[in-house]
Amino acid sequence: MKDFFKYANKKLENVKFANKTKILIFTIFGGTILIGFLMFISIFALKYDFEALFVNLTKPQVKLEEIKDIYQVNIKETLSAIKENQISKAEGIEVLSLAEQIIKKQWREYKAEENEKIGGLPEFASNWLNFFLLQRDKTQKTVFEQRIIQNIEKKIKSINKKTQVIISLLNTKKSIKNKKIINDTILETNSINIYLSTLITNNLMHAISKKEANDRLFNTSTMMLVFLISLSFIFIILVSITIINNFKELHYSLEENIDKKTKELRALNISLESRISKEVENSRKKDSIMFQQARLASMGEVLQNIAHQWRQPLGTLMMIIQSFQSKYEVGKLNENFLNQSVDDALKIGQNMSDTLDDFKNFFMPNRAKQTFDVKKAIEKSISLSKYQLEKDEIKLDFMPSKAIKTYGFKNELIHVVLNLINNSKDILLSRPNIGEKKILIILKQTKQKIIINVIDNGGGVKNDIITKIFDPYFTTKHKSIGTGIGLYMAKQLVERHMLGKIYCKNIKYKFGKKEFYDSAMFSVELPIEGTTS
Amino acid sequence: MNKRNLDILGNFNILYIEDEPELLRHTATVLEDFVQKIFPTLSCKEALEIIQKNRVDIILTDINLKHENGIEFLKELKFELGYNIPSIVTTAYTDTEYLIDAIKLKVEDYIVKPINIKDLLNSIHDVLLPIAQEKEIKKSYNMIRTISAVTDGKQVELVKFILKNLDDESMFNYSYGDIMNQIDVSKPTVIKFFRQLSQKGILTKIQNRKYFFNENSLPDPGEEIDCEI
Ligand SMILES: Nc1ncnc2c1ncn2[C@@H]1O[C@H](COP(=O)(O)OP(=O)(O)O)[C@@H](O)[C@H]1O
Ligand SMILES: [Mg+2]
Repeated sequence: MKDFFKYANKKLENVKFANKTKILIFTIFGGTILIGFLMFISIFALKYDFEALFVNLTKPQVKLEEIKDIYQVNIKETLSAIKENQISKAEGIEVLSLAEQIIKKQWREYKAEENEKIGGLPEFASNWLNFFLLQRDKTQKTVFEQRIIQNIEKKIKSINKKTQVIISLLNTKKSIKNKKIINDTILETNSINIYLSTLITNNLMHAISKKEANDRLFNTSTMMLVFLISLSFIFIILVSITIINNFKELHYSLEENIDKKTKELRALNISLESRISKEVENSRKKDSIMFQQARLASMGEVLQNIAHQWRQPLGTLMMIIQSFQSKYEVGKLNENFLNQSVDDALKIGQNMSDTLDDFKNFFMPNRAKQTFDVKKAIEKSISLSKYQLEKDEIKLDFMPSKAIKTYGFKNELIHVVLNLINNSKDILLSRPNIGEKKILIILKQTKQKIIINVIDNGGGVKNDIITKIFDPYFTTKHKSIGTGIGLYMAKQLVERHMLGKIYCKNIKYKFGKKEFYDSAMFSVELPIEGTTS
Repeated sequence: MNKRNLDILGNFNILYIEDEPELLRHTATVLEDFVQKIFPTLSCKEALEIIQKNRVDIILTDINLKHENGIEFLKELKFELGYNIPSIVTTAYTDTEYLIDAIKLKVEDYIVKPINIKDLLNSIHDVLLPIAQEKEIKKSYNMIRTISAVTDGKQVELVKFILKNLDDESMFNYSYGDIMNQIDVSKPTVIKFFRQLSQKGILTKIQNRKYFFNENSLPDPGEEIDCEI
């Protein structure tokens, strides 16, 4: 049994759930239909058998009894009465001919009834069931029965003839001769009655046997029904159990699956969490690396500035030193020259030292917030990029308002503005036919905020990239000059550290001239109270 | 390199263009001890005015000037204004871009900043030397012409002939007859002149028809000429 379930389960594994239900319903339905059908068949067959028993075997007996009675009472007794002359001739004739007629009619009816077909569904059911149960039809008339019937018919005819003779004789009133023929007829009447009795008995026997067959049929079909019902019950139960079992199995496996999946999900969740925290860590690291890179990049630019700002005074210093030797050789190294030159050299040296301090302050920022003047910070950015701008013949104007004090990281603001100036410088250099190259920085203050606008006539930012320029590593420049970090870093600094905003717009700007230039305007908005809160 | 005689610089005027005022001033104070006159200037425009008003023998200019370019200025001077003044450029970079321009322009020399004053003076000297020499040769030639105007013309002709026909080893391979065939001069004059020369050790007879001309025995003419060619 277990093996069977295993086997069935295996088979059913591949069957869809809906199909399984269909199988179950189909089985129950099929079983019910089968049982119902069989019940109907049996009922109809029983009805047929009953009717056959009644119509073919019982009803005709009444006719036979009647015929027998008529022979006994009407013919035999009338003949006896005629013989004894107890009745008149006319009465005798009338009774006899009436009796003859009734007998004829009754015999006809008997035969008709005996052979009457029941037909319809019951007969079909009976035949079908008989065929099904391998029972032969026992209603066939036996040879014996047929001979009796033939004899009875012969006797009826001869009695009839004799009665006719008697009637005609009675009509002619020859009474003596009649006595012999009457006796004959009475004898024959007796014999036909015996035949009739035999037929009746035979028929009764037949009915009994038929009833027995009927009983058997009933038994068999009952058994059959019981068997079928129990079979379909067993089958239904079997199928149900199998399918339920399968369902259970399925349920278990589903539960198991769900359990497994839940566990997997939980594990995934945990690993995701750790992965996310790792990624966050990574991106933080990446950010700080990028900041480093950006610092290095602008350090490069500023270094170039410093280098140039150093190279010039260095050259002068070296010249002054050499001049001592040279003057000495030509004998003109006097006190006046010495004092003048040393003064100059010291001044130059001091200047160089200041430049270096600028650089140092910018790149080794004290991370402490301080109160500072935004205007001065912007001026520092400009001075840090001054050399490059001069070299590339870019005119930078600064339109400051009065001094604006704020609180925060000064160096970061210097850095941001420096980045914007460098970007403007790059775009202006990439356009050789632009004519006069201009950058304008405007600083203003409203009630709520400080606004720094950096405008250049480099043509603006192309519309298809304007949404991306603040993304990390987005650059349109050759990799030797572009890193794509500048604006990203500026945005991080402005939004995170200064709690401000930075954005870009393409505008038309006059730069104090008549014509309008296509220009990019980068704006930095800072909260007026700085980052005290 | 030998130590140059920087005295020749004393006859020349130099124009110096440099946009860095401090450097200009200090370099000028050094240079003014060596040259006749120095014109220091911050811009090309001023420089042009100076050139038009003064004699300028050599130009010293920085390449990277404020809003200007020294090479461009030199080009303009040479090709548009027709001045042919030797020039030296100074540059803070070993910029090949400018270097090629400089070579095309036949700039005489270039100095990489920071300026080494000795290198600068040497460079100026080297540029000016041929000019100084040319001046000297012209002077000598004039002197000879003056001498020949007041002394015997035949002797001058003989000197010319000897110097012209010296071979690579300073040998003179002619007989008196050969000389007389070539120039119109009498035999006694030739003999007398040759004797005079051999007495002073200038012309030594090695064998027949072969004389050695001793350059070092020539007397000092009283004027110094830098002979470091
Ligand atoms: N003033 C400007 N005008 C036009 N385009 C600009 C300007 N500033 C920045 N951009 C564009 O934004 C891009 C990103 O700038 P940035 O983040 O500073 O990186 P990078 O300068 O290294 O390319 C630049 O490559 C350039 O295409
Ligand atoms: Mg940038």
